[in-house]
Amino acid sequence: MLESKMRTRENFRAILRIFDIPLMALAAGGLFFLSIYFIVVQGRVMPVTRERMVEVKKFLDRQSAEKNYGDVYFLGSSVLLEGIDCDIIDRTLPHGLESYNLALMGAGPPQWLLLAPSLKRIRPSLIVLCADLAGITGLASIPEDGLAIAGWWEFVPGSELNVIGAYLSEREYKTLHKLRLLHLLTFRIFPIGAFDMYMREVSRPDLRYEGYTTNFKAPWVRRERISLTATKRWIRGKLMDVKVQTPEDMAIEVRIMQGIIDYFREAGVKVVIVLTPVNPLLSTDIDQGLKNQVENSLTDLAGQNNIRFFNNSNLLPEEYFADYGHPFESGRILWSEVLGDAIHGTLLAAAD
Amino acid sequence: MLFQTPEFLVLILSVLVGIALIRTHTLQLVFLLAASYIFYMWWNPAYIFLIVFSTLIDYFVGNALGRTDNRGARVRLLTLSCVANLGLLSTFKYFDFFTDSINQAILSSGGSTQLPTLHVLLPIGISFYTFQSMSYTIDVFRGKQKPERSLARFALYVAFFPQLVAGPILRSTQFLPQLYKVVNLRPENLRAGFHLVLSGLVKKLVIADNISPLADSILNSPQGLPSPVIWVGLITFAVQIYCDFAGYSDIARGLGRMFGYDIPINFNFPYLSKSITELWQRWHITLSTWLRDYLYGSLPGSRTNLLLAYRNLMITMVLCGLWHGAGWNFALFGAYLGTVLVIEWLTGWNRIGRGRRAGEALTPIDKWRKKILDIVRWGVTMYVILLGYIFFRVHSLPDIIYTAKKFIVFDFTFKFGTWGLAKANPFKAVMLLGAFVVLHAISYRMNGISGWMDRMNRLQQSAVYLMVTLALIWLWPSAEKSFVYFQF
Repeated sequence: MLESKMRTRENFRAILRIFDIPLMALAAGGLFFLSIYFIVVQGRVMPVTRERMVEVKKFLDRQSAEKNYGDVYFLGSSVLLEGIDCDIIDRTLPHGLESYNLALMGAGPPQWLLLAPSLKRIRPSLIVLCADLAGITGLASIPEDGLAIAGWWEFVPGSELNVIGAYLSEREYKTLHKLRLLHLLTFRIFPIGAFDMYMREVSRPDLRYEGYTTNFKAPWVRRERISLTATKRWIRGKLMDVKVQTPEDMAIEVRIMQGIIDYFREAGVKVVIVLTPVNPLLSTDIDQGLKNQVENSLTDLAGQNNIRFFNNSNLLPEEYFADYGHPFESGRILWSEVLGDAIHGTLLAAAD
Repeated sequence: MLFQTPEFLVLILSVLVGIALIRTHTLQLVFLLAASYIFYMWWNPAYIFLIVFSTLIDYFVGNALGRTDNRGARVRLLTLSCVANLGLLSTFKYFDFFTDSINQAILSSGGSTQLPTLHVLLPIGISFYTFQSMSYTIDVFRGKQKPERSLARFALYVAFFPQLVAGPILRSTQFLPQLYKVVNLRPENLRAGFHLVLSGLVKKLVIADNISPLADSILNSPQGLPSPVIWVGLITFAVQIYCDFAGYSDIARGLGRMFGYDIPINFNFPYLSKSITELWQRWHITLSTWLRDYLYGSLPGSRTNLLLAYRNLMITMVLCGLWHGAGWNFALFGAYLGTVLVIEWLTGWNRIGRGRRAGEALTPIDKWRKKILDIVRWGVTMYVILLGYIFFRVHSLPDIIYTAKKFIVFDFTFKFGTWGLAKANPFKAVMLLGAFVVLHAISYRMNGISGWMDRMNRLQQSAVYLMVTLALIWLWPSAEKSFVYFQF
């Protein structure tokens, strides 16, 4: 009996003698939070795509502070990011008005929603929602790191959280709303992500990245078209993505777009919808029924809200694209001119 | 329950405290057995009955073997154990595979009759615990192991949680004697065990899980990719599967060590091998020795007739391939490795450099010649194993053919930025591959990272804990990933 009691005591003594292990783990945790704060939040070491998100928010806050009211703002994904040059569009706009390309890589309606409160504050004359075929056919949920950025930099103020939150999924809402300190945990992927993005994209000679994060006119320019083999591989991948998406996913996207339209309508801001150009290579392979469904959904959405819908999906020939879906220089110029005219017309009609 | 989850942390801390509190040996065994069953049932409670079934059959067969000297009866008992264990394995792992294959054959020959399939979920770890349990009855049959009288002890041998679902595959002769000792927690065991666990977590969470997206994005859809990308994909997969599995083995060994149990080493720097024969002696050692002792050695002619030995080697390797997964690509992988092994045996490739007499001095030229030869042999071995991984990892025949073609006939297309691999963070993966090479070299020099940590003073150890924990927090993958070998 005595021996077994002694043994129990020895066992616990053994556990206590390795107590430096949890202590070091705690110290590492503390060091982590400190380092992540200084590296990511203060030093802004993050992939350029995420840094742009922060810069868009800061830009909108600046516009609001400087009372730069009445301009035109484009929201979209990488197709828009690479696809338009706002300097070309500005030439067609009424005097004094400017347009801004606020596209974010991979962004769909849920991400646009996060920018809505900041946009509302500057009362634009027009918001252009540029939906792309591959994005709109599936559920473009907001990635965790995007939500962490929106949470930390307060994209959605507390007073608007209920309105915006109604269109977010439960996961998105919880992540956006969680304790700020926990967002730092998500930021841990940024430094290595920044290195990866730098090596993969920023340092490439066939891409122009200067001012990418703070360029809201023509953020990203490709200098070379990618090979046909690579384009075809991309298209195969895109088609696979589209295949696994369901009509319910698309319905959710359209519902969020309706939410954005309602949100801006209440603030007296006009909205138009654009279906972005689709590479004919992708267009021929994609299910035509699906494409019609997208076009009909957006037409109906515009019709129900009495707003304009510009279907640019068949605008550009294959050689005007840099890859499976992003317009190349010639495509960018043509699409910008077409969009400029369309927006000019819309603004004139609104003035009438 | 995965090792890297909070649930497991709670389980292991509870088990340590429980073991420290329990004063009788039998209760300790029962407590560890209960913990092992809870660990397994966390995944799928119903499948615990398969482990219990396998345990009971082999427990009773082992004891019955101990009571009879009648050769015929002993053979019948052994057959009962093998049929029960292999029956479980065949039903749950291979039934649908063979039925689907027959159905395909019927369809392609114009027939319409279709055999029914079971559509059952593969029980995690079934290939490991059935082999472990079966080896006990074979050892009892061969007289190498005494029948175990305590059901709790035998059940714990079959289901000991650290190695239950992905090995190392234990032998009763190694592990059952250890279960006779009272578990006393000792700081040196706890610390050494923790070092192994830490080493395993780094392999799994920092390396394997962070590079797997790159291997997946390349090898899940290889069509259209150029040779350099295919090479990167295969090298990444080679490191991923090693770190994933060796990481699991390290954690299993570390957890065992915490309780004072020695779980055998499963990997011994396999990628430093200079022949496939050597690689197979360093990779998943507990499986390769199991197959050698219980399958290859039992086939007639393995030790007496060279031709029969080659045939038996091929049979063993094909079955080894199928052990890894129910698919023809795995059988092909086994056949490929078997063929390479036969070629190595025939040509003497695996015996190069063995002919030197002990103590014989090498001239400087001989030393250089040996170094160059070793590098060439290592390069050839890596090339052969990477080629083999194509069968292992790429599943459809057109993709296997395309990948093999691009791997063998190098096309020198070096534009990495345009292949749709962005989501896989390719440069992060390449950086971690570099980190793996450095860590592997340190580990080789220091005779194992965990052993090196054991020998450090307390201050150095604390610094390592701090750095490794920081690395784990920074690089802990966002999505929880199961261990690759769970599917086997």
